[in-house]
Amino acid sequence: MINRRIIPTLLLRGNGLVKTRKFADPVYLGDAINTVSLFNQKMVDEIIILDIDASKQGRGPDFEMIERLASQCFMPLAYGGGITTVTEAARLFRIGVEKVVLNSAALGQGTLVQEIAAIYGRQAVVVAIDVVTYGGSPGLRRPADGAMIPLSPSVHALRAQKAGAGEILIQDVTRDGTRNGYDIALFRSISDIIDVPMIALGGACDADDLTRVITEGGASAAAAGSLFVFAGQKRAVLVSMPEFPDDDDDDGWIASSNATLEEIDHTDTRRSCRRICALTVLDDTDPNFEIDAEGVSLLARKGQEMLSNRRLAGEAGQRRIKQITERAKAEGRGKEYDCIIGLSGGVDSTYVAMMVKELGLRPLALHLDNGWNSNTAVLNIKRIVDILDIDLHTYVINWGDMWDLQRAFFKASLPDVELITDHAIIASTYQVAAKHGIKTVIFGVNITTESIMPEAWSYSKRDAAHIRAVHRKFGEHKLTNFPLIDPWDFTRYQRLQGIHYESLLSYIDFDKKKAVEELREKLNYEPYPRKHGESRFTQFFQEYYLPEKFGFDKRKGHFSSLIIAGQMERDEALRELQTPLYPELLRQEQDVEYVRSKLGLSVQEWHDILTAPPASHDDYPGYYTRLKQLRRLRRALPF
Amino acid sequence: MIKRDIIILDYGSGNIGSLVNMFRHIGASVHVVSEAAAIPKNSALVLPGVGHFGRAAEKLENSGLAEAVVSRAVVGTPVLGVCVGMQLLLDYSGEGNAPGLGLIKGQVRTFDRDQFKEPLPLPNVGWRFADPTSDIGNRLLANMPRRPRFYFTHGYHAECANPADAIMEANYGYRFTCAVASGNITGLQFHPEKSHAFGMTLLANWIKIINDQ
Repeated sequence: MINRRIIPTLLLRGNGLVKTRKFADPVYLGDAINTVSLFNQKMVDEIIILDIDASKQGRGPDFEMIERLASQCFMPLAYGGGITTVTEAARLFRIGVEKVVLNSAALGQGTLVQEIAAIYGRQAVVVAIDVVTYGGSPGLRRPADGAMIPLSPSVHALRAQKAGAGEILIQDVTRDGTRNGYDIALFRSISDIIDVPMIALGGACDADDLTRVITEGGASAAAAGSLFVFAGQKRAVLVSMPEFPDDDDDDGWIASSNATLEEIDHTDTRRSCRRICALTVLDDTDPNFEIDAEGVSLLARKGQEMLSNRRLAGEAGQRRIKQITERAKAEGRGKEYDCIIGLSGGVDSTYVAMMVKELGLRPLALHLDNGWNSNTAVLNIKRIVDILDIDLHTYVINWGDMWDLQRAFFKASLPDVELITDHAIIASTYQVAAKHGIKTVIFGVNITTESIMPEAWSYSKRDAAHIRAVHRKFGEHKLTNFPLIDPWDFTRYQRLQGIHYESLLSYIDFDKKKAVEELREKLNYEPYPRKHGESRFTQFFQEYYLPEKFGFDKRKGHFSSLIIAGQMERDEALRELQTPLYPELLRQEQDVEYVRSKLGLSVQEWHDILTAPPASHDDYPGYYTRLKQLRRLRRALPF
Repeated sequence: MIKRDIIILDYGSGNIGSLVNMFRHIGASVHVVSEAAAIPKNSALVLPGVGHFGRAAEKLENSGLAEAVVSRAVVGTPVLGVCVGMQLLLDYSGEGNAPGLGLIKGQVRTFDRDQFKEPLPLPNVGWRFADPTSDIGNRLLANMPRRPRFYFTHGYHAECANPADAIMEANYGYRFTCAVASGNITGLQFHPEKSHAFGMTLLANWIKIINDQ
């Protein structure tokens, strides 16, 4: 049904988004730009963004922020909040907003609605009306102070239409954030008397409800907030759009890829190498590359050793898994959950989620939202928790913190910018486990596919002191609540609270290709079009930043791990390495532009970062760098 | 490859930001120009526009760009009108009883509620399918990822004097012309710059067509 217009409605507060309940108790949802970009990838019909503080604080719209949001919108964008003059409206239209939403300004004696409609057309003006229902009868609420106005919402809607509003947005305050279902009678009573399209907002509970408010409530569009930003009973933050199975309008159309004007660019920009490992695909792009007499890299040898020592496949592995399961169940007796799992939407963590359910465990799934989720990732997470019936908790990192830290690592010219997120995952998992009294922490890391990674390309994920040191030098403001974990925290969690960490994937014959097939079959899992597709940042980081600035192609580490695990042929890996990281130049430009603008770096700043001489993590203090220094010192001593 | 620069005409009406954003996204070289003298030689013109036809026509005239568009159009420069920008390409509109540029024969009229098969709110706001009714319509709608649909927001629509100039149709109450073309002149009632992959594909098709011309 093409006339079913569905509109996610997002509430802006500073740089972040929030969601309210009955217009109160805002919950932080994370960075606005990524959320808008996700809705754009989901090809939503339209989007409404309301700045809930602007009018209250007596200020105008945050134009800079809105412009950045608009640049992610390839669909109509309506904006409301703090608009009091035609000049402000004009500026919004210029930077990419299609419609202005007026609420307070439409209530008084002013003529702003008329003025904007006269110049820009009525299609550009939406009048929002806040409605509170008491005992079934609707009342009009003034947004500035929440006071009730002695005027019927229907009469106000009619007046707004007459003044020039092209659409009326009815916001049902009573049901805001409740997900109790739309108040169909309320919307019907208003849509019956106005001729312009009405947008219904407040209380949407599911896909059927969205259809109902249109067919029965007479709305032209169904808008919702909570329904699209929360998942599950625990109201975990997760962007999703309901799927309408009857939307069968593709008949006879042949799919083709996204429109691009550029020819596919196959030029290989990677640096030429002189020496390569005889067994794997490691080469001297690793500054510490060394080979033995047989021409095999020492790192590959180390990986082989690690695999044979620590990997327990077959029966021994099964026994170990049984032990872990029984211990988790025993320690979790009488509690809501007996283990905590990380859930990124990637193959490994998804496979773990499926495994723990099949083992009869009662997991709490923890998802860390660092502001870079991809659409495929949120889609997969939604399917996983729905199909496996797992409780989801989303740990939303304060985007201001993440922004400051990532910028700091870039400015420090360091390679492992991803360790910020990796560290936060570890820290937040322990935090949440402790809060819920969960003893068993299960991570998706596995020795089979991750045994080899050159040390120069990454750094310890457990080093809070290192993160603090880089931030101290390059950070711009104080961190608020970024999850950090120090050695004494580990001791406390492990020794005092008895939290222990397990990895299930190391005890099975984990084969990534087979795993993807199994997940597709059982969970309707959507494979990522490209590697690291769960995060827009990781993709950019591994496929652009590392190769461009450091000449590192992380695939060499991954493929080498797979080769020694017997899951990939060396020839296949070499062939694969010949394919460029970014098959489309335009796509690469779009991704780089997205990261640059999301981190608020100017073109010049970004250029400076890419061309600055590479630094090493050893140049900055940290627990791990200190440990390395001590070891070196120890070796140098004659006794 | 893209040969022509895309010039978006800024005469004080319309959402310039969205158009620039979309053309950039598909890799076109795009510039905003508000003075006739600043239009480069080998370019293609995009005429945006929202709101009241009469007011838009007046602004276009006063900016000096109306004359520039017509003089370029007659010598073969590709012109793309979007929304009210499309309506301005025709001879006349009932909205403000004002003349257009006359590059496409026909007029712009309000939706006729009496002809609606069911009562519908106006303006027409939302996503509608666009179906090609001519060869050029087909070419503009080629390579779509799904059945093409676009974002519309308008209360008036075109009625071409020459049926061959009507290249796409949409349905709202009845079937109406939602895109027009004649030679180097093209007009779209809907907003390709706000229509996701459909709009991207259409604009990329348009650029290919004008570079082949």
